[in-house]
Amino acid sequence: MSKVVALMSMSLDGYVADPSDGVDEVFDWYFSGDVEVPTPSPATDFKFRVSTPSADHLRSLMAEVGSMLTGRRTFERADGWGGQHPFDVPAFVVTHDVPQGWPRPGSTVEFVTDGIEAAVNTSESGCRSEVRGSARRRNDPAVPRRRAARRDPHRSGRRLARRRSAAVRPPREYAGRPRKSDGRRRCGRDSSALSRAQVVMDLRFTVRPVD
Amino acid sequence: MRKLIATVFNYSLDGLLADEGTEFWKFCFDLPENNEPDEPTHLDFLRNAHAHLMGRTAYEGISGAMTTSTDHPFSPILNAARKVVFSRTLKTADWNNTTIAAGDTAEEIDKLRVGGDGYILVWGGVSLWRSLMRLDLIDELRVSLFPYVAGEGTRLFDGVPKSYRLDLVSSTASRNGILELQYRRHR
Repeated sequence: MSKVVALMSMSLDGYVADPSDGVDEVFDWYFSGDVEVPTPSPATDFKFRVSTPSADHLRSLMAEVGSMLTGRRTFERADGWGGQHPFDVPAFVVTHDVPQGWPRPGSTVEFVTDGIEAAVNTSESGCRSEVRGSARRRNDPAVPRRRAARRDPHRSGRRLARRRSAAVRPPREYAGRPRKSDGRRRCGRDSSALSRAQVVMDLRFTVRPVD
Repeated sequence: MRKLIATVFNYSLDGLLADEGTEFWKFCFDLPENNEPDEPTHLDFLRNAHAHLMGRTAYEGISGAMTTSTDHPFSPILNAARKVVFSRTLKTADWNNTTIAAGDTAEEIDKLRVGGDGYILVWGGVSLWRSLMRLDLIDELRVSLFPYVAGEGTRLFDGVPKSYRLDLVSSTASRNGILELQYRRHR
């Protein structure tokens, strides 16, 4: 079964957007680095520009994601990703009403109108077919080979051990200075993420049921 | 000039400080490294502080705990150390080596931080931290971020300046996932 990962860019005081849904401050890290990270979708030339550690993080993330589940406001903010999510995975939008003009022919953005649980189920099905789809397309010269390499089962298995991901950063364009730790023991499998601390910290938490 | 370091503990992922009696509070103190904080580098960090600053509420809580739970690793350090309680209502402070700062906050801080290097720890509570952030007198924040979404508690960053920019200095996780975050005020 697929895992459901909540992904967010958040300030130290817990904000993910300003009162008018603006995300400039918390998304700035996607576009303020020296390393270009192209997205896998052949339909767009959208690129991230991030720091070297963030580039590693984003490449891993894009290789790991099988489908996207978003709310209607995110869909609106993103202008429907032009009909193709740049991660080259199906996107499922939870909404009460399918927006006018959608779904579009040839688009991989779909709409789920019967609630959040249905949306999770639908996007999990979409996720599985996407994984099969990528396996099929591995021989397709139009799909960059590096994508297949990024699905290395050992690497993704390690990453899938973490379920919840939250990028936590201080409020405005903070230029971080990573320093060696004081030697205290780190959480085993998250140590690489912690050592990445720069402008943005990638924190991954596994959600545990309350005892 | 001495640096002012705010030590913020029991901080949740949703930006709340643990209030006594909540599930989050219980979670915090059920973690052994938080209940019995005996990390030598951290004890040295406390021991080497020039002074320990507290608001009145924090002073009452911490002084009570440190003078009764004398086996707590912080107890011998804090009982001996120089403490300053910021209060305009408190008349006497019985805890050993404690003085009361009742004047203008910025002036009181200046009296403490000039004339030497090193650092001064600010233990809170939230009112004192927020006042010092508004006066832009905090040089460093040490935040203990717990792997927990509390949903209830006290918001730390209420009534503080907008766009309060920080530099991340270091981050270390304990064995149960408490993330020790060190931020420096960007100046």
